Amino acid sequence: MIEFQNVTKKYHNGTVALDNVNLRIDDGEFVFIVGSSGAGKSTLIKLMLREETANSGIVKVNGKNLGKMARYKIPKFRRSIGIVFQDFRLIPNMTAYDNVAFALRVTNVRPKEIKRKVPYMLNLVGLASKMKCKPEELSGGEQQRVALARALVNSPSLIIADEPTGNIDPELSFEIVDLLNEINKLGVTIVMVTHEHDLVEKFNHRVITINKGEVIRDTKETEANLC
Amino acid sequence: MLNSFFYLVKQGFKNLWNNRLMSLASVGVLISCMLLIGAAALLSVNVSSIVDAVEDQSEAIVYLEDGLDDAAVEEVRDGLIATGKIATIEFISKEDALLDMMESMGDDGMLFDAYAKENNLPDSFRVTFDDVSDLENTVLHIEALLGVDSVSALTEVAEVITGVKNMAYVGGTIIIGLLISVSLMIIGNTIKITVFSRRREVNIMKYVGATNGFIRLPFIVEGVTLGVLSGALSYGIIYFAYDYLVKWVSSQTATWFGQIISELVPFSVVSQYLLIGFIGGGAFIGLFGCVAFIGKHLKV
Repeated sequence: MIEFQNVTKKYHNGTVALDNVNLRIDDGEFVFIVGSSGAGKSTLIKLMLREETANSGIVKVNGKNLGKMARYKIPKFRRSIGIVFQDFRLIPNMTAYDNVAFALRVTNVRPKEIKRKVPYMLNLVGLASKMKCKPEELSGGEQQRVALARALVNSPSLIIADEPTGNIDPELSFEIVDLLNEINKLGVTIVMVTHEHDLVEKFNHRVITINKGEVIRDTKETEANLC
Repeated sequence: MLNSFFYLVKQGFKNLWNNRLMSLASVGVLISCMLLIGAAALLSVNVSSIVDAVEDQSEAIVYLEDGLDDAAVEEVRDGLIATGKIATIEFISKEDALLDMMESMGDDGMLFDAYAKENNLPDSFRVTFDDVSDLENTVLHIEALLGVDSVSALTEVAEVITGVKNMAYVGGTIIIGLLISVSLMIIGNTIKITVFSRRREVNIMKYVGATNGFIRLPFIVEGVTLGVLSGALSYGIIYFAYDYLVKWVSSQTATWFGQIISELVPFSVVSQYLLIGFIGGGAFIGLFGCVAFIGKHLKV
């Protein structure tokens, strides 16, 4: 579960990225976060990953108050989350296999287990034949699928995807979100930041709209009010 | 845990190859700096050695008063030893002094045959010094000894020797200190550039949940390997260059230049210090450079 209580984030240059934000995402939900550039979407993600801390308010992820989390506990916390970025963020000199395996190695998983899990994950995202390829030898869509396999390999209960379709063509974008949708059906919480309204409309999920650092629309609340 | 350790060490060596251009640049910079420092150190050591050799050659003649008995001569000897500055001491009787003089004059020495019975030359001590830095005072001290008539010593030459020796020591220390400082700055910047070029990689690792130690270890393996490799190569280059120099110098002994620098310190005397300095320094720089400069990129 993700919970923001009266969260405000102001940067050193005076920019107010988030202003008194309140929201709650329950386990197993699929949520789109939309908004224009500079609306505060990325800051929201950074707070969820404990890359930044709020100036005021409480941010809780999977029951942990991130504002009070000691720096040395951050790596362990991040291992419980799968993260997918717009620019894939694969380690350039590692093969697809090693990129996925890296996420397991940081958790000190036994080599035997790594050999079993990594091919399974790459097969799941349709890249079994490209395990030995380096990121530069893969297309944008393929790189994003490797990143997705890496995000999934530790069996996280939450996946945060920051504009995962931003660098790939529309057809492949649909495939990626469809894959996330299938993962969500297994009970994994998905938070996906996007500005592609076509995708949001195709998949009938909760949408949180942010503008100028404030939550201006949340379809979950709208539905509740209608009832 | 052990699996991770071996994986990370292996990863460090892999990264050396993957980033071979940067590795090569780092080794180049390290070797250049180490060679400059090593050459300056060897120059300083050799200048000191040459000055020491010249110092060892400097001697003084202590002329004794006429008519001293054996006991009085021994008292003077004890007095000389008590100064604590004497390296060697040799008694020259007035007879020996005359013979020496006659020998040194060759055939013309026969002219002194007539003086053999009435030898006016004094008994003396020929002494060499451990340390000529305060020769003027030492001479004054000796002249004050009971039974000493006068002392003949090149105090001005001793002053020059002492000056050169001090200059070599202070100058050498300053030059080596400056070279080490400049080298550390250059090496620091090289490590900074290396780490900066891979900040994205570090950033990704942090997002995946890698601990700082997990990210640092391959960098440390890389840094220490490059440092040790550079140290070993620098040692090899210095060894061959110095060996060549020593051989060239020994072939020049017929000249005044050759004689002056025939006192070159053998490489075996300084080799262990250079080896420890180069390899230890290289490993130290590699280790602490990585730990210090990577820290900035770990705050994600």
